[in-house]
Amino acid sequence: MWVFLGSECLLFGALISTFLLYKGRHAGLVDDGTLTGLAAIGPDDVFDIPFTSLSSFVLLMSSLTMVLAVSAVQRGDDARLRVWLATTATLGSLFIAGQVYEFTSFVREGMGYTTSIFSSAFYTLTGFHGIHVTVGIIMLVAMIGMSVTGRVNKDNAEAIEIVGLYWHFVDVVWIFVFTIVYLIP
Amino acid sequence: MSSTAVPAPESAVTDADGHDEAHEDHPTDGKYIQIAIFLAVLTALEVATAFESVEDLLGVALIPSLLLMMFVKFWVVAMWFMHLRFDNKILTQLFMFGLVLATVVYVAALSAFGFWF
Repeated sequence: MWVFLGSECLLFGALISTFLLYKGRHAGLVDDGTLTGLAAIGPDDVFDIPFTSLSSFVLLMSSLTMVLAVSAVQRGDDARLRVWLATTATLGSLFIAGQVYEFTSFVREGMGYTTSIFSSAFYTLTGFHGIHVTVGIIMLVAMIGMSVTGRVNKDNAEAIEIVGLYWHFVDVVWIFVFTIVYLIP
Repeated sequence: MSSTAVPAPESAVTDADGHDEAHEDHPTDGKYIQIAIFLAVLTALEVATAFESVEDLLGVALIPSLLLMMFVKFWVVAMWFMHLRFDNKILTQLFMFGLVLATVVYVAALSAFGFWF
């Protein structure tokens, strides 16, 4: 798992570097393929920092509930394990719902995937992260099912620990993305 | 915060998954909640820099401050929530290898594109 997470650092490193390179390239293209100039939509025009901060807080708190789930399975407390896993999946779903809302509002404001190089880099980076969160939610739901059927318990807690590692990694990536994409001017 | 942590004993035995027998020394749920509050406070401080008055106050220190808070949050999550602090050192090295490699490769790539100038 750690080797996989190490390789994921390279994937997200590439996406973050690409975003940094193209952050200032938000000149749009018109139908004939010529640049419309720097009047096209850029990060300062669309980013809603308070809303994204709330999403970041939700994802950060999901790391807490995930670690509490790991703690519960190590104690053999299956009921609390399922509660914390369900809470983590719910918080992850809230984060994804926020991302869908954010993407929708950006598109409504005129920033589509192909509007500019900046918008392509932004949607690719945050979209890839969103896909990772979604995969994590699927794994969490699977773990709840396995716990209900008794296939995950104190004796084989490694499965929960591994899903936990993946979830925390997704949170760590967002810590970087939130600062680099949204907060650094 | 780290002063209350119980470090893994030198003689800890490692199982097949790379977990030390010091697993029992993992923090309590209360400790995890304290760590989460610390992370939430750091996030609030990060968000505060988005306000114009704070941005002006920090001046050239703005970006270093944000990067510092970002790395502290990363380190706390990796060491405490991901249990690197309590697991075998080889796991930390594996993860850090990927992270350092990514940093070196992409800083070099950004330099090649003249990003810093």
